[in-house]
Amino acid sequence: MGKRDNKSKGDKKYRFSQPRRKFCRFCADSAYEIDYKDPQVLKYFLTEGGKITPRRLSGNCAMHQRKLAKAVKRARMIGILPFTINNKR
Amino acid sequence: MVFKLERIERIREYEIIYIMKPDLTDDEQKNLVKKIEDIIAENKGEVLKTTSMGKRKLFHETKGQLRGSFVHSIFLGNNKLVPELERKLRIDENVIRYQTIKLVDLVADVEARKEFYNSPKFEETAAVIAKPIKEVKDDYDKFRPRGV
Ligand SMILES: [Zn+2]
Repeated sequence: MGKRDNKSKGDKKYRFSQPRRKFCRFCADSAYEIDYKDPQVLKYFLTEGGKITPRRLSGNCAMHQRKLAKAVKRARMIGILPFTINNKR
Repeated sequence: MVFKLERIERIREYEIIYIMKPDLTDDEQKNLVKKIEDIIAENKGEVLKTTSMGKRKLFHETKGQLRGSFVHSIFLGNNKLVPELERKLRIDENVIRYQTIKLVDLVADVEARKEFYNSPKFEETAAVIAKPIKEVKDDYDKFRPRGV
């Protein structure tokens, strides 16, 4: 079991778990830059609670996810993005 | 063999955002911006560009304030300037938050950097900085990841 098996797409086990291919939005369109001063781009990578979306959901590449995380943290410090959004009162 | 360590005074490029209290008058705001530019000038620095980001709502209460006037400034200076500037900002009652970020570690050509900040290429960036959040349209919908 140590080696990774080459399973074809037709295999029963994998037929129902084919995820849609995700792509890095910043790689695809170079017009959009990650800037901590521009919260409009950053806020789409936050969950409802204000957390940073994980890479497996957002599809970002490693480099852009790193830059994004840094930008979000910087934006939080100057108060233009939330640390958390608490809906429970 | 003996190595001689020469100390080179590096010129670095920084950007700073500081948030002023929202209820300051125009004159008070101008004085504060002037005061901060003076601090930079006194400590062998040089201000390249200062942009007002306008009054914005803060996501969390900072020093009892829910709003603040943002100022963005780009300046050149050595490593001793930033701690001094931040010390002065911390003392100032009218500043509720500040954040300094290093943009360039070693500025080789000072004139080129000055030129850049006066070029139309930078104006686009400045437009993003100065854009009030309320007026920004949500044209980033394609950014929204699925399931979020
Ligand atoms: Zn990418």
